[in-house]
Amino acid sequence: MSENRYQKFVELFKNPLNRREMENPDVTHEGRNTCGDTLMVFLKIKDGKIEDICYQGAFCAFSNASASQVTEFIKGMNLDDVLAIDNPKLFELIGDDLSDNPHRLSCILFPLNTIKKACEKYKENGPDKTPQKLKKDIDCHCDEHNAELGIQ
Amino acid sequence: MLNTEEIRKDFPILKRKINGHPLVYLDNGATSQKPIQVINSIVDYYENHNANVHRGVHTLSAEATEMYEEARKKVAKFINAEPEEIIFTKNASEALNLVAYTYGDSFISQGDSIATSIMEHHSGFIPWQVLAKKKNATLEVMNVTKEGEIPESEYSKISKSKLTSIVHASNVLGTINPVKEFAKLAHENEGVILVDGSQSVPHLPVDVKDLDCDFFAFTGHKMLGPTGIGVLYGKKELLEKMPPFLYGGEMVVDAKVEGCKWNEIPHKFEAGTPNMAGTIGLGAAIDYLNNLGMENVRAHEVELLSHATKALLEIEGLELYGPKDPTQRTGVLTFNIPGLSSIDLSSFMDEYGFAIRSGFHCAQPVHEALGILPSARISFYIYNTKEEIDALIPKIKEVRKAMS
Ligand SMILES: Cc1ncc(COP(=O)(O)O)c(C=O)c1O
Repeated sequence: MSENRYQKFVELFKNPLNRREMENPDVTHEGRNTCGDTLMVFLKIKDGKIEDICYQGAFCAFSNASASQVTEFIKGMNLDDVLAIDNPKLFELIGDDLSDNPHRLSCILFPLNTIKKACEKYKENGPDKTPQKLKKDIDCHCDEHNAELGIQ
Repeated sequence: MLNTEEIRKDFPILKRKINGHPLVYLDNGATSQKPIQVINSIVDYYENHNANVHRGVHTLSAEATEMYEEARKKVAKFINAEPEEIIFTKNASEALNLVAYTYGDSFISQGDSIATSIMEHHSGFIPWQVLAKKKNATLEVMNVTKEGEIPESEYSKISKSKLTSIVHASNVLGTINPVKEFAKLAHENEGVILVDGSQSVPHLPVDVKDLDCDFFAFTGHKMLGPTGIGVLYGKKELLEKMPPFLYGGEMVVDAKVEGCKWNEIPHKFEAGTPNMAGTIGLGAAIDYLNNLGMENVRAHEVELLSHATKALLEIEGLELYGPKDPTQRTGVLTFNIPGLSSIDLSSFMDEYGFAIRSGFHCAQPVHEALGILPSARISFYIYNTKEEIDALIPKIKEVRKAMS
């Protein structure tokens, strides 16, 4: 593929920042984007500050680029400051606001939204009681899904 | 065989450049492009014949009514039905919902079963899920094998159901379901069957009498027609005993304060001013397809399918879903390349002018049933060529290489 305007996304896709799992996280959250992508964030929190953060899952290069930049930026930050990050700040971190490709906007908002959910969860309930694990393989959710919908 | 070179001249949009490259449109499963004949029929209608139908005695109203009813006859003939068995809706989704809201509401009761399959489009799944909940009925969802076919062991779900709603051809797997056999099974057990033909009517010859289905739904925009026009076929005797769907003008013959008398079918189901231009455009689309011959349309598709299946499978690691035999499927090829998200593939292919689809394709349940991620899909129509496929494959490989 020749150089295109998303070259920096491609580079980060090949060499992502903080894309890994964490042994004993204080809080995790698995987000699901409307396109079906899933991303789990793992946070280590000390004195109300993010000591470490990483993520893993099945998501696109745009989400990966966004997650790479955001996680780098927020290490050491207060949870409240993370919750206050707005879209202009996010676009600045990523170096692109996708104004000419609004179709992919949700891809770059998705990681920050997932991180914010984890922060809110921690603020409300403290550390996770039962740490969640990332599912290694996607497996059939039919039964679960059907049960939820009340279908036999 | 189709003369694609000639056909392509009829489609103005195919001259477009996307990001500096000639458009290669491979998202026909979502919607087809429109030939100039269809576009012109709509322009002609608005420029020369526009008036409300069935409402006036003046010349224009008479002309518009005749054109509208002529389109109904064309649709009927196209699928071997009677004109009064053709109800115009805004799309397939509305046609499917119409059956749920009228037939379903009147004839499904607590404890009944409704059968459908896991490979349905959301429009052919959710109406039954909601109806079943509302009526305290059971939704029997037929599962699929890894190859994307409904195994015979699931057929008993049809036998025990009062209503079966099944997709004729899957918009994800391409699977052509044996709906004639399903109809027989449903009828032997006093059930009725609704077939979602959104992905079959544009691509295969369809004869509703031969299939012996009770209802059949499809959508104009996937078969060269305009958006905003869909069709529900229903057997006359069923349509007659069903209550109306929406209430208003046109569907009533005698409106009194004490109560109303409904119009005859199909008008009973067409409340309000219909989409006249859309219907006329759909009629022009059917003329276009008849001119080509649906057997030829299908043969062209099978040829492209064979060619593309072989080429895609040469891409290392690529997982192709659905039946491998091109004669058992319609022209959609859905796949994933491990490590490359379908949405990225679609975005990067767009940079080269290729329009391909990514995501769940409004069919999330089948992705979950097969345990697969959101997928990439290419889907063909009459103007696609082997050369386009030959151009596509190296670009997919290039994107993949750049991303790994
Ligand atoms: C199998 C199937 N059923 C139903 C639909 C719904 O068609 P429409 O969106 O035109 O209502 C589609 C198309 O998206 C489809 O592929």
